[in-house]
Amino acid sequence: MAKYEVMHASEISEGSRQIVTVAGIEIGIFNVKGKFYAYRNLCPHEGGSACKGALTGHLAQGPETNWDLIWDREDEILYCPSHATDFDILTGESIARKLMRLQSYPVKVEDGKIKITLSELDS
Amino acid sequence: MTNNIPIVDCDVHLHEVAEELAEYCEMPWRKALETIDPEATRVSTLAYGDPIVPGLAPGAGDGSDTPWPGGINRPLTAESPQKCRQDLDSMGIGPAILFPDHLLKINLFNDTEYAMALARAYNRWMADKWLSVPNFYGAICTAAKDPEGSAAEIRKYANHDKMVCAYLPACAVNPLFGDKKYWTIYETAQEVNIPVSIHGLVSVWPVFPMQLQEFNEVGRHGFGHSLQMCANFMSIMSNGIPARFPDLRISFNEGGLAWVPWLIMRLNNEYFEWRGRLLPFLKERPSHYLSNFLFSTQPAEEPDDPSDYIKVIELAGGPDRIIYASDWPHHDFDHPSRILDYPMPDDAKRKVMGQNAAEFYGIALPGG
Ligand code: FES
Repeated sequence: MAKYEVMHASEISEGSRQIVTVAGIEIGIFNVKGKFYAYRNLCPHEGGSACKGALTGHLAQGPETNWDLIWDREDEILYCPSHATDFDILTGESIARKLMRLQSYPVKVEDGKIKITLSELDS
Repeated sequence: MTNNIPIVDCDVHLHEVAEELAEYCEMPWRKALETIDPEATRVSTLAYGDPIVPGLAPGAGDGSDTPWPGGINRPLTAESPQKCRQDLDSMGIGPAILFPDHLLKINLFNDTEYAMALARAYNRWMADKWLSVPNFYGAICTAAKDPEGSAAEIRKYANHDKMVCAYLPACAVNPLFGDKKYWTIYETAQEVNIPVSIHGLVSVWPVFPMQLQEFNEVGRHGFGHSLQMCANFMSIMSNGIPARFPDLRISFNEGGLAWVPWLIMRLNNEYFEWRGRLLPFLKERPSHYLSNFLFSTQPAEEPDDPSDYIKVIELAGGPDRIIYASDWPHHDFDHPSRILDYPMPDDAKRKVMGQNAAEFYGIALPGG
């Protein structure tokens, strides 16, 4: 277990992300509505740089929208740049490819600084 | 019944004769039907080159194939309800669902009102002349160019004890069957609990799916039927029909089975890329929705190794999703032995040969 201080929280504005390298591992840090999430920049599909993909929302339509077509989850859906696998930033799970997920790391903001915890298995 | 396995046949073709239909047709359309040469309508829709019967069987038969002698010389049309029933009985077939013959091509009529009047006349005539014969069940004829009129026919016959599904043509449709234009048909079918059966036919109009007009009968039939299924299945899935109408039951008739695994795996692949943008209504990958559909066997594929057929069934959703159809008396009909001879476990045979269809169409099985 090792805690790494990566950057100041103010360096990642809401709805954006930064890629950092920690202990030789590329990690994407996302700010969704003031909450931070960290995922390995490695797509479980075929190894693409998932964290560099389009960070936006998705269309929703079904009984839950009364069959209206709406744009939903703005800034919460990450599309891998390789084949567009969709990851829910709040959970790290792909929505279309159920069971597929990005590797996540615990993130904390302490004294305005973002800190990520890596276990020994991560290195 | 063969080997004590009850057989339900999901596709038998009756034969329409214009002068009989005329009696059941409203004015002024009856006047048009009365002009049709009775002899012409007795000609098979499947005789050499798929001949056109003006006013009754529009279509692909433009005489473009070279007329070599040989081939099938038995009658390719049902002579009468009684004779047709005898033929099926002799093959061990029990309950059978009747589809049109000439009117398979009903969507090729330019005049939508005429087509709808023909569909109504056909349904009255079939109910009267054919469904009075035990073990015959009917597919309600629709004229999909008139979705409201078609939905009204489905509603009209919903409680008829021998009308068990609605016929939709797999080609000569533009747009294809996922389009919003047809949703009123699906809404009604779902509400009154009548399955829809998308059934293949030979036509090259509109130039569909791709340059079929270049092919002779081998391509128009052998290739075209499965492509029709693919095109409609794709349209239905990409418009979210199984999500929009979760209780709607759809069967795909006369495209065989092997197209199903190919297309469903293709669709899964597309879904993983497009879910959030083009397919928001599909909450699960496309293969999940296979349980909303049934696929009929005919024309059964002929793999070099018979055991490969069992693999095809598994990949097309398994024995629960497959229904036997003969297509009697058409040129490419499959005798029940065709499927029964494949090396399948007995319980799978029972499902495919009768149980699934009995359940899907609400038909009582002999001795059941
Ligand atoms: S590698 Fe990420 S979607 Fe294929």
